[in-house]
Amino acid sequence: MTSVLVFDSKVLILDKDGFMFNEKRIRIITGHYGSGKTEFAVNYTLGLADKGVKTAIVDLDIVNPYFRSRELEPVFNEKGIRVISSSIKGLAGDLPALSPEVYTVFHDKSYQAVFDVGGDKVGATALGRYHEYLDNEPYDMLFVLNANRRQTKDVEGAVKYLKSIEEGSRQKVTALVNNTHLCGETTIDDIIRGQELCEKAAKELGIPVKYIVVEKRFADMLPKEMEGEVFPIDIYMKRPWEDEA
Amino acid sequence: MAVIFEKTKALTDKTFHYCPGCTHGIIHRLVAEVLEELNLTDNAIGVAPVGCSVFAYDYFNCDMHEAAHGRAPAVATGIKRVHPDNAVFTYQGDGDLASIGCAEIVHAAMRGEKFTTIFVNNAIYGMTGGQMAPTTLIGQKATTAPLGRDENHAGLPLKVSEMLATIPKAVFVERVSVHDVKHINQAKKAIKKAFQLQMEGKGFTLVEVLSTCPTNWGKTPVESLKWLQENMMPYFPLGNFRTPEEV
Amino acid sequence: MAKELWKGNEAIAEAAIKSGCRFFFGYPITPQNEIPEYMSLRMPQEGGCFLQAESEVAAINMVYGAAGSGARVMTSSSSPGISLKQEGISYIAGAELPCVIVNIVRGGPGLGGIQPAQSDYYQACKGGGHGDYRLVVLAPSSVQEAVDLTQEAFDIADQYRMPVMIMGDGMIGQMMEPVEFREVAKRQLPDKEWATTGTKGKRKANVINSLFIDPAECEKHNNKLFAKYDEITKNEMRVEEYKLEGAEIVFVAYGTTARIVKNAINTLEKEGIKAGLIRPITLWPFPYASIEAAAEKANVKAFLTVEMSMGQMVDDVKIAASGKKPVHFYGRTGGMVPTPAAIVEQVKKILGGVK
Ligand SMILES: Cc1ncc(C[n+]2csc(CCOP(=O)(O)OP(=O)(O)O)c2C)c(N)n1
Ligand code: SF4
Repeated sequence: MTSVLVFDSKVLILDKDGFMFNEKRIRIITGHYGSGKTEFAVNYTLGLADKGVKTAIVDLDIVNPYFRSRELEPVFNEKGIRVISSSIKGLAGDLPALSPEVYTVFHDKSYQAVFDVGGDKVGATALGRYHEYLDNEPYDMLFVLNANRRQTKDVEGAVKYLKSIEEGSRQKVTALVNNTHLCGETTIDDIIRGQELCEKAAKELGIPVKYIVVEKRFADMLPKEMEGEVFPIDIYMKRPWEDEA
Repeated sequence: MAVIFEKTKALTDKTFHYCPGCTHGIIHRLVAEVLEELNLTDNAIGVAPVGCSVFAYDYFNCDMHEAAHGRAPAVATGIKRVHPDNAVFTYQGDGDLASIGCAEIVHAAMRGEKFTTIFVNNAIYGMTGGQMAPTTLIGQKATTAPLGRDENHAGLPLKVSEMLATIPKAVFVERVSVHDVKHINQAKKAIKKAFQLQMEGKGFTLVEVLSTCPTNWGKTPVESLKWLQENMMPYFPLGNFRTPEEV
Repeated sequence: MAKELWKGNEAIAEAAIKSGCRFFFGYPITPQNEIPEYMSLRMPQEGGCFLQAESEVAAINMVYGAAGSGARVMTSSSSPGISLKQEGISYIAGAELPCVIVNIVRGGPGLGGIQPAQSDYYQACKGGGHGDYRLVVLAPSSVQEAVDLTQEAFDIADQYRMPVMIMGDGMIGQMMEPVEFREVAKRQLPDKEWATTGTKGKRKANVINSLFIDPAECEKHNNKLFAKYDEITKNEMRVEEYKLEGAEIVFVAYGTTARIVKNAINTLEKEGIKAGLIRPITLWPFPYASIEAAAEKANVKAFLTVEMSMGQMVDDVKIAASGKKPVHFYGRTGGMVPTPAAIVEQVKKILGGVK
């Protein structure tokens, strides 16, 4: 049984396991490219749709030509999720061409929306053009952090990076997401080290650590005392040699 | 029911792919309206560039070529030499025309090639995601000028119209803007004049149009129009730089 | 040093800086934009110079100038831009200048698309520009290998005074992988006494040039270049051989495609079909000997070359196999990537035909 409670533009979605997606209606997912932001956004969106709510994913990535959430359109469509990205269909187009459909999710408040914003400050700049909407409706902006990326491996770097994304996007980050991984080579130590970084950075910024993103195999191995909710994910953004033959 | 507004027939029915609020769309429309009003749609041959307007060949309802990045003026030269009686035009961005295609445009002007160039200046590389253009303003940030354009490193923005106006056979050179209705009307007048002079065989004609890129500027469409006025117009003054003397 | 996660393009840029490259000239084009963007930030921090050229033609000629002046210098682009650089590359090869050129290949011909491809093999290995010349062409198949090869590329360039190309398909530039920056083995590198640095009144003037008025002189120059190329073929040829022991089918593939093929090999193994892979790491010099040796083996029934192209490297495989064993080809092109399943199917078709 899923119950959806909405108050003050905040949606509380509880499922039978008591798992919450307690972000605001508009969620913006940002981070360094390679932070695993898209993987998190994809899993988050699919999870949200599984709760039976009307969901849209907005792929605002104008930075990365490959590995964008729009590549998973068939997977999203199967779950009835609306995918909004470029007005040009086809993956080979080297054009930003943001779709006017993006405005739909601001106007039609029956949507639960996830914005997947391109990595780094430049990618976040594309969000700047929507700031008049975001100034008028509370949102959650999650900053996905991977301690294995050089630019965000210590508190100073992470904070600096986060600020540059805030500057580019003209919006404020509301929570951190620990997504420290090393592709196939991730160890539990990576996750714990990343969590320490996130908690320190969060303290400095005065915002919470909301989620700890881990591949399912790690879900039961994590220490208890960690800020945030464990968010187990499946890997969707596969490289061509990772496909089953 | 009376028809009070009809889209120009010189545009196809294909929906523009441009980001909402991008003025590429307005400029397309002006060019198309001029072609229709001058009865040139059936006679025109256009050249699309590489840049955000790469699909211009899908939008203009006339014969079109797609050119390599920056080479549209050379392609147009080839077309016009084969078809001297046709209306030939290029539609080019600032990266395409002022950077990689700078030689082609200068030499087309020098030879007085009888085609019209619509030069869209948005002070950035739109298509490839916000790199510095030759027209990027001092201090303006771009992905390849992360700290803002520095004049000691990257020089000063190129004033294409002023530069081309020094070339004798560039008979008509005007800079216009499309940030409000009044300026849109002026822009259309300039584009019309350029095509008329081309058809009279006067020489090379170019209209530079100041344009917006809300997506890579990180601004709402309305803010972008304001930014264009407040930042681009002081550095790139509007006006006519060359026009043939009336006889 | 602990491993970090890097995007291929950034990693190549950082590896270049680690190798002492302090000059970079480029022009935006997808899917390699992260290289110039990264350089625009990092070069000033290292006291180096990043310059966005007005075109690829200008960029490669800036490289010619900087290389002739004795600097470690690099440029990068993707297919259409590399086409524009061909004139400059020929001059650089003719004037025997060391530099590194990165090509993150996308689908063609013409404007093509931005998805990964390997259809610039001919251009890189069989000429591209005019005249008799070669490039050392290095083809990484992981981000780690891209880093290692970039670091070595500068040494190879300096040792032999010639341009070296790093050729990765778009996937290599765009994907993220764990990377460790390692020290590369030190080479004895000759002094750049030929470089234009100003004579300071202490030596005869140096001239960087590729013009010969006397054809006999020009031929002599070509002979000298080719003597050098022979030496490189002896010393620098690199290849990976994977599960060749007892293989009935030998794949030849490089870059991303080689990784897809490895996946297919493991699937075939489970089904009881023995397959192996010859992966050229240097596309030039090409590892003819490995293929020749495989062609001699009784257990090898056929070769299957897999490329993201209509079939370019397959010509070299045929030369090496010299008719001893059949050489088959499977490819996807225009930005499409072969799937492991399709490759497995090809093998079954071939073996079905042989039996
Ligand atoms: C030879 C070559 N180099 C680079 C590119 C990549 N490229 C495509 S469009 C473009 C610049 C676009 O900027 P602009 O001309 O200002 O047009 P806009 O997109 O802003 O309308 C570049 C560098 C290419 N297609 N071909
Ligand atoms: S990226 Fe900029 S120039 Fe290109 S369509 Fe969007 S707003 Fe227009």
